[in-house]
Amino acid sequence: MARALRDAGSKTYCAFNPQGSLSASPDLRYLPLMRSVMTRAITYAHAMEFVRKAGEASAVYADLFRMLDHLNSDQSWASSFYAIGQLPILIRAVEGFLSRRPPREDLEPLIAYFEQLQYPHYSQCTYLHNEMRQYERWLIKEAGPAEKKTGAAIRGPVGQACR
Amino acid sequence: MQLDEAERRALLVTWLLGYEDEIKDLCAATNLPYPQGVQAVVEIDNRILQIRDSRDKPDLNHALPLFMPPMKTTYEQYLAAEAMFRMVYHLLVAAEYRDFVGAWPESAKLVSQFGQETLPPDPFTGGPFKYDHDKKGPRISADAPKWLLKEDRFILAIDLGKRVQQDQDRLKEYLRDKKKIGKAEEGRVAIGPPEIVESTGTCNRARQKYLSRQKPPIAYFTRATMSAKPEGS
Repeated sequence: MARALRDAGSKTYCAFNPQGSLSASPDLRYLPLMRSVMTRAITYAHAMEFVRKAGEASAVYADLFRMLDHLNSDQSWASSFYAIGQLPILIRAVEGFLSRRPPREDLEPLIAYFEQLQYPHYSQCTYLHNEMRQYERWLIKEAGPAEKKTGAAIRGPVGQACR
Repeated sequence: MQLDEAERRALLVTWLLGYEDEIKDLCAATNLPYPQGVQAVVEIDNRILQIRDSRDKPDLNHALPLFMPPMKTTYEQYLAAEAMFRMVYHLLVAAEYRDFVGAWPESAKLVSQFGQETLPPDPFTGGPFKYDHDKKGPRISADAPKWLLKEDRFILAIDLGKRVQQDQDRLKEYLRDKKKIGKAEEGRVAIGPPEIVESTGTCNRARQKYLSRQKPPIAYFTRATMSAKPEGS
């Protein structure tokens, strides 16, 4: 685990490519795997704390926050929502870490991460725009099937006229 | 009435343009401070719900209810996530302060002053987070709507003192259980499945439910086995 984290930590970007397939919704097949990676990394961070390497644990937590940001790399409404779903697991782990009173030099990796962020961290406006662009792209590129699908989803006489 | 292909395409384009306008309005609403923002979002939601309930009126944009489900809940959930994120940042600065000064900061203002840059405020109020502390640690919370406070998925209050107490209680409970098992099994040590401490999301809940139905696969090792030297050593 340690080796895998070290290798992954040297990479600056983690490509999930949720827009890989042309569809109205993002491709999120990697989510269960990411959840498992996160649980293991948190366990590793606990172990690091146990052997009095709180600095390394802090770096793991910071990397996990970064991983969640990458999970939301397409900055869309759907994938950001999934990233948010993972957040409480990580925050509970960091809460435990802070309750054990690590020295301030060990907090540096986490503080450095939070300092470089721009707030609001979750920009709903950006997500809504990107979501809209994805819908539009789908409706334009897949014109025939998309029109049929839209028409079928609209109920009443207007929907019937579109079918 | 039945539309031909060109008419259907033209209608779809009109709807898409209307959708863009609504998204612009929604964007502007989410950028407002929460008390005004939530009102604007509710107005947009009501407008879209009205369209949904008027299926027989052809002049309305009937794609909107399809593309834009009611947003109020989602809008507040995003703010809750933002608050969770910011509270961790505040606590990190408070922990740094504690290590430097030797005591937890007395107020949220002191935390902000200690942070080199201005710390982000509570997204629900635009002001500081609620903050207090005791000997065991600080407690920070966001002034979120009541329904969000009841949701397990969002951590809108972080209490380090309470966490210390919980961890101590959990350890005591674990040691007590271990003692009980030890007595019942006449000197055997039980190794059970790892405890699932935190979880969110449907998959994890389903997994927990599944695991709770299963008998825990306990492997037993006697003390004699554990202390015996491996063969060849």
